[in-house]
Amino acid sequence: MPPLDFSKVTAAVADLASVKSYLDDILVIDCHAHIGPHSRYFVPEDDIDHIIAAMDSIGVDRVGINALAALEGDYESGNDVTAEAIRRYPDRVIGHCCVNPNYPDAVAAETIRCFEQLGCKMLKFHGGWHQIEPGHANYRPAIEYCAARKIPLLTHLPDYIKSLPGYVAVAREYPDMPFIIAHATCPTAIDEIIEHCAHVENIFFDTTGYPKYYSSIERIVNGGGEDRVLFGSDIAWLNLAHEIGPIVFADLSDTAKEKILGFNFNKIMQEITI
Amino acid sequence: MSVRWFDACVRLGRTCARPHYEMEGSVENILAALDRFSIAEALVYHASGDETHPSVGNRLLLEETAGQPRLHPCVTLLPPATEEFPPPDQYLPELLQQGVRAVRMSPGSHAYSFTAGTCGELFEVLAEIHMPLFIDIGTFADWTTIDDVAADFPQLRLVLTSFSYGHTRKAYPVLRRREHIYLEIHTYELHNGLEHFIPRFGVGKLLFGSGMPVFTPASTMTMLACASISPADKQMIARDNLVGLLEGCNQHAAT
Repeated sequence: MPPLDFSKVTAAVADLASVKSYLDDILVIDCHAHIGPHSRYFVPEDDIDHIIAAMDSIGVDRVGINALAALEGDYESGNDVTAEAIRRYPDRVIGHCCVNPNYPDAVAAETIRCFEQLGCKMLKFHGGWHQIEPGHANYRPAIEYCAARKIPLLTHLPDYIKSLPGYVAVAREYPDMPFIIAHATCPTAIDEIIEHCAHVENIFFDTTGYPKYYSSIERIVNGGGEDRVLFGSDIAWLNLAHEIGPIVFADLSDTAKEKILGFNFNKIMQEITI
Repeated sequence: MSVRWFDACVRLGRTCARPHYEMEGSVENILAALDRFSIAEALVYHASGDETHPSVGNRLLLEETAGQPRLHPCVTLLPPATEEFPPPDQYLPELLQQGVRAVRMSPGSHAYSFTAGTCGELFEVLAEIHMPLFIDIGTFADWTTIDDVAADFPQLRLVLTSFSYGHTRKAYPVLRRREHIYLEIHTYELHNGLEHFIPRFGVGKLLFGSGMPVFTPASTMTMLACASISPADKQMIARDNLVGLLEGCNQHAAT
């Protein structure tokens, strides 16, 4: 593949040909996205059809996704929304199973339902909203189910600095299970994430939300390794192009960009044994 | 279609608590970054204008942009009551003569009320000469006050930088009422946000900015490149809307 010429971004304002043609030639998988409305912000066109349309317009092949409702108290109906997206776009959508540890009696059963009935392929914890550390016992039934099948866990840590030692300890307990840190390029956390996690081989780093910070992509690649950085966008909250641009135009080799944009995550997905 | 970019939001200078990973905002670094991303020109302010004092920051800004035709100074102002600057009807024409076409205020970090009672004398002169006033709405997130000022000074050109997807519910009603509010979009990373905004409020209110040196231009440039809007609208956001604002001020300077 020819190297991307930065000057092409100027031409790209007239149409998206140069960005899209680059992405069309490689596998692009977004590991972190959401369907549906949420109370905090107004988001236009947050349904799966518009998300797929945005992916098509840029050249994103697949998306790992959950309904935002699944991260709140109404997680079961949220997981049903995710399942509907999987049913409608089985070749494009990788469903996240969301469990809520504040309702511990349901965690094991909902985990099994998500993976064995709804077709999910990833596990998602939102410790920030659940206000529970990832190592808490209430999350364990889901972790153990996924660890046995090498299903990746995407985690939004409740507090990145305080949570990291406990998170690393859990990851070390299950070395064959991929642990993905959401928003790993966050400027207030990236140094600690690299310090605590760079030497733990089953921890991966998701770019969602913060690639806009100057050189943050180069920084997480230098600190965590190009084989462990995964593209994520937070669509339909955030703008897919806004999130992918800093990777496409990063000061990295084309090989590194291909790994971040899809190769690394595809490799994780191929290891799953559901 | 050949498009030119004009960045509405770039900071020069050194901040006190600079994160170690952040590009230093020297003229050399900013020009190199503009080259890297094919951005022709930028409106720049100075970190010292926020942190040390506007008088210090403005002096550094004008010194550092002198002889740099791609960098256009955006001077930081204070309200007139404490007399830290000459009276607005004297100071602003002086700035015009020095080639300044835009100013900014930081009411949050400089500890004053952004109201007609405190800043009205300044607002009146700015409105008269059509000089755009930039406010970082990311830090000064008071849309009620913005609404009040825009109501009291309808000819004042208010440019709100760091407009965010989180502001939409507060911003939309204000934008429906007030004609001369403009938005710089480097943190407006909302899915289909431009596509939703433009039919309701017009493309003329939106300005491309990068937020350098904190942020990379790659985010907003790619968002704009890939937006489902017309090439003409992209060009207006990329450059022409900002040029229009600055030229409004130019016309007054010529008279």
